[in-house]
Amino acid sequence: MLIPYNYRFDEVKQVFVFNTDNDVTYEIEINQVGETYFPESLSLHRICYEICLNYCESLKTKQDERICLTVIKIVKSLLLKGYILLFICDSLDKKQKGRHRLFNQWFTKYGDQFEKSDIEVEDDESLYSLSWMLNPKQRDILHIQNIFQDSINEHIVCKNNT
Amino acid sequence: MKKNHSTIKIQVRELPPIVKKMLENKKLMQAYSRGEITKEELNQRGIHLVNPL
Repeated sequence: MLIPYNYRFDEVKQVFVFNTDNDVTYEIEINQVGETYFPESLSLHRICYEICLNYCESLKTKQDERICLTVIKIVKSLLLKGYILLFICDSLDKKQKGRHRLFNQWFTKYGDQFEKSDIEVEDDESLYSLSWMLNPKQRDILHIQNIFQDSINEHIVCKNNT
Repeated sequence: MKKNHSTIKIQVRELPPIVKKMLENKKLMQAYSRGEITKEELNQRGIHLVNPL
């Protein structure tokens, strides 16, 4: 049976770290963003984080399910504590759709206890995929969802829900 | 089975501030991970990495 890789928190660098069987090092950075992104929503200040997964692309080899299991394990631990997680797919290399699709596959497989909302934002230059996840047992879930929507709504030209 | 995943697709003339900030933070956190900027520089740009677990 496949199991997650062992991970640790690097106290000096302040990141979660794990190494794969192919000797690729993954780092997960977690940044507290509630106050910055939602200054008027006091209820989000201490529970809202953005998450960033980093690895050396040139060393990446074949698909490794244990990477998914490890990332999901960390994400679940955070969501079970009642935190809200935001992330945005890197779009510099125009591969954001692939990244978004991959994360959706992970979530479909292992994220059944949690709620995920995606927002695909398109401007004249590019498409940006951002998501936020939370525990559906979260108090005030509708209020939280409205805060996120409001942060985007005033800029919308056209909108589709699926 | 309850659906726990939703997608909203939107078109904008200008990126909302939260999206701009997320993109900026992402670039900075990637640069930090590659060793291109220090933790102090990251902090100065308003990013404070934590372990909430």
